[in-house]
Amino acid sequence: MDGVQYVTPPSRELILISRIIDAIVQSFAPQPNLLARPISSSDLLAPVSTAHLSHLATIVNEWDFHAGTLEGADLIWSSVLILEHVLNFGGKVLLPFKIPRGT
Amino acid sequence: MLTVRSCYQPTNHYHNFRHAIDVLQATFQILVLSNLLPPLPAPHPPMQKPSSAPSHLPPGYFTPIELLALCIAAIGHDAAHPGVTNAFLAASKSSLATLFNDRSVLENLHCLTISRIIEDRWPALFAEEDGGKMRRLVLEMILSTDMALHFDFMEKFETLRQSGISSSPVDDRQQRLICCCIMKSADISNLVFAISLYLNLIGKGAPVDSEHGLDTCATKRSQRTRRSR
Repeated sequence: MDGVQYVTPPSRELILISRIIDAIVQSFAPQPNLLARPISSSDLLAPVSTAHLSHLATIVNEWDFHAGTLEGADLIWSSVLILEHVLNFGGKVLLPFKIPRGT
Repeated sequence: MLTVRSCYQPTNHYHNFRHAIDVLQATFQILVLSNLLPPLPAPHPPMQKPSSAPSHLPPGYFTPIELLALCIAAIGHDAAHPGVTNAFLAASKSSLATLFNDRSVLENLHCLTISRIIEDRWPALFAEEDGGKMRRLVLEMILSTDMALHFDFMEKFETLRQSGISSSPVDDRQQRLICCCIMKSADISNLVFAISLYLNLIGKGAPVDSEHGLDTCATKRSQRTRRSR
């Protein structure tokens, strides 16, 4: 029987791991219900002052800055600042892509 | 951005929303240091540039489309990351690996995730008015972050480095390769973190694959394959 290989079923442990991973992936990938869900008031960010945004802009401009120093909503606001900056810099080319804040 | 954040797992010690913003900021800094984008308007001037940051790209090398695509790719490049590697997904025969034929499984998941979010929340971005260039570029950059393809990518990049960059007219293939290179550089920019910040971000998560005796390190496997060639 040398050279003959028998196919064995995967171990229970592997099947279990596979199911756990599938559950994790499915729970975090955007499901239709997630995208269809309107943004509730609890999801919205608290208002932020112009002075705070200027402070964030200064931090984002630092070449040795990494986002590890920011927390919570500031992570989102810093990304919004960068996206808005690129959209403004793009002028007419990026005009069709512009959306106002809060939509 | 709220929807994107909800797709990143807060329980993932590294590939979480913070990492996405970190890579976005690194991408932004590479563009600023390369004189391709001005810094943000801010009351305080930015820190002086490091003297060892010459730009090899001619001014205006990227159109605004590439600049925006780089930022979008950075934000979505690890969306819905489950916290395990491609090799682990393949070795454990997960249905996700089956769906994507064991090839760049996670990167395909990230592309799928960010595509669905953009098509729903910012549909103008992936509209076909520009011939689908923005979408193609974003997906190509995200797929290029698969470290199993790193050495093949670097071979192409080395060829480009030796032949020089063609800027008039701009070679579309070269331009896309440079976009991917910026994306990849930003993705692994954690290597230049201050050590205190790095330790704070990494957390204490242990690799799951070694716990189950699976040999799943993509980079090691790729290196072995290259040696055997």
